[in-house]
Amino acid sequence: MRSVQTYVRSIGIAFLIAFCIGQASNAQSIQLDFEQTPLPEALNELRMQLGLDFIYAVRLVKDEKVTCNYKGNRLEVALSCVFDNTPIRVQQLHQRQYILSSDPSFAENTAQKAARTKTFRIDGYVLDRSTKKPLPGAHIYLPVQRQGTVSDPNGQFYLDKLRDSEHLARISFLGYQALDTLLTASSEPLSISLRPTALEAENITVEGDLNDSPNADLVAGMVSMRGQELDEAPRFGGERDLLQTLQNTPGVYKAGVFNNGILVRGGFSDQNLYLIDGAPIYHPWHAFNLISTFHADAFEDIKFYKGAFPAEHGGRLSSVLDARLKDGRSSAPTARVGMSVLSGRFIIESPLTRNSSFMIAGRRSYIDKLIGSEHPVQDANGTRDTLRTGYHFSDITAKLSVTPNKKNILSVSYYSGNDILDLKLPFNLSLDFNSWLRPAELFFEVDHDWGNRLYTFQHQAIPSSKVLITNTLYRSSYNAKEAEFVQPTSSSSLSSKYRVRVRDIGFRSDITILGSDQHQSQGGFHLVDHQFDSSIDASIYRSEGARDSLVQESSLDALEIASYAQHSWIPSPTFMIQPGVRISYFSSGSHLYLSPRLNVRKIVHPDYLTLNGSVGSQVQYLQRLRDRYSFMYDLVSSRWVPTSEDLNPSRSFQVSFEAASSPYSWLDVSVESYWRSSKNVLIPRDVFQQKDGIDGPGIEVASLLSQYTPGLSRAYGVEISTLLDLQPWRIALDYSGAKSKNRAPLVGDTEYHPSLFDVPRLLRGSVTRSYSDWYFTLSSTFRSGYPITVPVAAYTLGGPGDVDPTRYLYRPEYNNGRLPPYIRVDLTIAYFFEMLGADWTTQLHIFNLTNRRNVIDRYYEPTPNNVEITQRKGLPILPLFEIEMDL
Amino acid sequence: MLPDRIRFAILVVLTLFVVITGCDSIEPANDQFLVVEGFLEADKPLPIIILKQTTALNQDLTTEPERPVIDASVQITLDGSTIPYRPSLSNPGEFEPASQENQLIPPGANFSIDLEWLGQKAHASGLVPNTIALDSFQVRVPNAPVTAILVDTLRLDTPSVGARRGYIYLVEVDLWWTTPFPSNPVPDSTFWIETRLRPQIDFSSKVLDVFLLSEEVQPEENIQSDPFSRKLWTGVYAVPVEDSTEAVPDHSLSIQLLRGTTDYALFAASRNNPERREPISNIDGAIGIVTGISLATRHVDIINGTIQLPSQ
Repeated sequence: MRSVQTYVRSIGIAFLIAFCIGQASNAQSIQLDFEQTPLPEALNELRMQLGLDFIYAVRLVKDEKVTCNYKGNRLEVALSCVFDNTPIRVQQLHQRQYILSSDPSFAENTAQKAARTKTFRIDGYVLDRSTKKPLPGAHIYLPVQRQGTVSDPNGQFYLDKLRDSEHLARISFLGYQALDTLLTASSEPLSISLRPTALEAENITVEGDLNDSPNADLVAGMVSMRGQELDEAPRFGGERDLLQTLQNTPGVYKAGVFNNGILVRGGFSDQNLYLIDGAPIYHPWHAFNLISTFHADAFEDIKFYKGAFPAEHGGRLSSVLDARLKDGRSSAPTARVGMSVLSGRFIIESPLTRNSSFMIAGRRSYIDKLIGSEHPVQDANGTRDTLRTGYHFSDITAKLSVTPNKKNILSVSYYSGNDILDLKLPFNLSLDFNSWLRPAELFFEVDHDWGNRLYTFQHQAIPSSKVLITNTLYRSSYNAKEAEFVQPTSSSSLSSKYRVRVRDIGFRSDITILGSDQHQSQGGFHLVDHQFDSSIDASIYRSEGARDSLVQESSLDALEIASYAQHSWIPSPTFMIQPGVRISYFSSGSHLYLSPRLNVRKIVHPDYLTLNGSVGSQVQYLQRLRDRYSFMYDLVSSRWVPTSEDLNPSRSFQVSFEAASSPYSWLDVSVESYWRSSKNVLIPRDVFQQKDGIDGPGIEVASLLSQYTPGLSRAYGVEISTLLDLQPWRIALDYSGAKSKNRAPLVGDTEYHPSLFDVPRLLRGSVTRSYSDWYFTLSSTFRSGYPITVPVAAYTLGGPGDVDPTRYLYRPEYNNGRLPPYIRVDLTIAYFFEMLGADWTTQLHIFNLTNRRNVIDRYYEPTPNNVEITQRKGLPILPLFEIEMDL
Repeated sequence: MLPDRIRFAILVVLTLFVVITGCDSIEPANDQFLVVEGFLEADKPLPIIILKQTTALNQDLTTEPERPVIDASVQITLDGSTIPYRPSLSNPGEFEPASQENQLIPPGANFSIDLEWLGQKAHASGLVPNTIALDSFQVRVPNAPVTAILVDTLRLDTPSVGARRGYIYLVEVDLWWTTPFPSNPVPDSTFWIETRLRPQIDFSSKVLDVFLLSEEVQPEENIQSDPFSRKLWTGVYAVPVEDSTEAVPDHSLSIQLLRGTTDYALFAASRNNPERREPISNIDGAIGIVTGISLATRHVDIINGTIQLPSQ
């Protein structure tokens, strides 16, 4: 309770500071001294000095010069001084926002008078910029004339009987950020494309779409990508993989090569929430975590929150990936097929009827088709057997969308993904296939099958022009099966079958209310029924007379209820504030928590400096744990464990800050910093323990939890992103300086230790150059080596009855050293061409171009007279090829 | 003169280069630490306490032995009675009770040990468990060896596993002992049992080792009982032979049954992976182990596949 009060007090103070900053900008003195100054420069000076924002067409101001000398504090006089002798009229739009238009009274002549008596007509379309889909129901309003219209189902609109050719207009749509701009009558229909963070009046673009949270981009560190950007994002290994793409974001990296998820700003891999159309995915990986289940082609857009979330999201401490599937709403059917080293893929999008459409996408790996999954073998004695080398992953994603009328949208989404590993092999494997491709008396069999399945039904209702209601019902499940049979001697064997299942049935309802230009509210609730089942049935024959068995089941369920409210207040065009609160209840253990959030934005200058700040707390009721002893279970499965009376949920508090600047048209720079403190995160009780035998404590939750201890975690860092767009060159540089540390006080930790994958320095860079139909990208990664525990001394110690003592290495501190820095350079060469009426892309991706064998692990083994150091090396140079066709 | 944007790009690159090239590695220190070893065995005299210093990582013990600690002060408190220790004159690094009294350690006694060396203080405490006796044991040698896969190492950095086929005898050993302890009713849930079979045979196979059961540490209350309420544990060890017709080689076997506290269980369960870790210590201020145990051992010879007790 005390900590809640602390949060509330902190947010209150932050609120007041932010409010004061907003107010402080109103009390400035004005000093202008222009002498034949180009008007664009004068406008910049006004922006810098007064914090004003101007909307105008570039052609209107580019050739104008102004002369003005003013000192005082009356804004209207200052503006009059600047614009009075120009053919430009300035009109106030908001408190500190003005629109510039041509002034018909400036050089009024006969022709102009005639023109004023003439009427004009403005025609246009409102479209989604990335998908080019029409947006029906958009409002186009001329505030001066008090005249307006809405776009029809095709996104088309017109305004006629206008007395002027140029009009100040506001284009708005439910869920969209309103746009104030100039519309000019033309013989050609205007095409108004809506896209995120658009501020350029000349292009008339607007951010957001129907599914955007109001001012979601207020959240510091939020990454938003839409269809086009996802298409253009760098591909790694020829795979269109969403989580691989996100790893190009500062503060995000994958821990290890296999069997670890992504880590965001020093968090744990189970602290990331992955959502597809609002429903969670519990294990978003294929191929032993090499690539993700997020087939990038299938997604319309994603939002990725790093640590600071809006109040609508909760349940994890580290990040939220909110990904929305494409719905096929395009004007014509489209298809894309592709093949990379790992998999083949396709996506088809098409309208079905005038108001319905669908999308279906799929992937499948094909290595099993190349080398075969079953191998009949026979030895000289005529003994026959079938060895198996089967592995494949596949997924299929589909969405059906229906828009029965302008006020309702219905959609049904489906996702199913699986990995299947089916092996039967002898132990004596080698590259010489002939030596082992024969019947084997001693062998091992592995039958692993794991994957997710997701059904989502969503209804979006627009009861009025200011209200959007979204209801989502989903069922998400994760199932894993690990079956093994190992026969190392003719009388010893292990036979085990282990299953894990997580099943969620959830319903969430969200309502967005657009009160006015300055006030937008959002609220909702989320109800989830969680079920967690595990079972094992294993028999171990150590010899003919020594047999052990393990038969256990575990079944838990829990109800999670969350409700939230947040309000976006825009007191001025340069200052926005979004307080919110989320309250959640978890039935297992009866935990109830309040999670306040606050996001603030200050636009110091639209081009030079935008500041975002976020503060908030998060609660996580589920943790993914892995048994640390036995080979019999938890090899590929993700086992989630809910909180209970004995296990408190993990909680964190984070402050993040972002400053973004685009001082030149070719340069974008952003600097982000964060600090997060977490408690009740589960840390291994014995950090040196690892799977090393058949026996384990069993699969009961208490046995699993006994291997972990509640701990404290801290992470802080700074992230710098620089993008230089020097066409045809494009240079991107990202740097992360960060620390993440853990402490387990209940097992005697008095100090924080670097976490397992702490990376203090991470630099990524890429240089892209395009030549006609060719495209070259050279990218590099430089990061600190992962922490390792380095022994500092040696000693011998004996036990009762020992003849000779054993030599050990003394490791007084966990993670007291580091591996050498990891450095890798990749090269991508792409070629685009047309053939057979289709657009083709071929790509060669060379992984680890310099063939540097990075050290990825190191072991210290004592010998009687020295210490033997063994190092594991990373992957060598790998050429990877991809081909893709768009129809 | 370079254009502004190129100069800016160079400046950014240089700045980041300076930032990233800072050293973030941590070099381990190479201090010397105190190592302590001692086991207080129920119904036995006070033990010798061994003190020594850690060595450098690359110190060759065959040419440069460990340095014993001889100038420490050591005292043990047993059920409230303080027993001073003194360095052994004949064996440097060993400390023995200063008193010549042949005091036996009572089962269930509480003890603590305090050490001071070069201003460095160390302390440990614990409980001496009830005595344990190996009531009975049985060794079962099969008539013939079985085929087995033999793998010397499991290396992830090579595609070849290096496995080969061989023959082994899987020898089963049953141990029986009695619990609880009517004469000294400390609940058996307090204690752990370590069972160890140590044949004088050199055999290791990375795959087979996880199937064999030559030693185990587990809570005593978790161990199954036979119909006569005696605790029963069955272990398995392997004896390799050259071919399928070879008889089991003669060898000796040491059987060890040990009762200890949680401190000992943590030590025992963590001492078999020196490449990964050192044993878990129960001493504040030093490395090593000082704990109470009770121990029963038997040595047998397996001759022509049958047990023969060695002549006493």
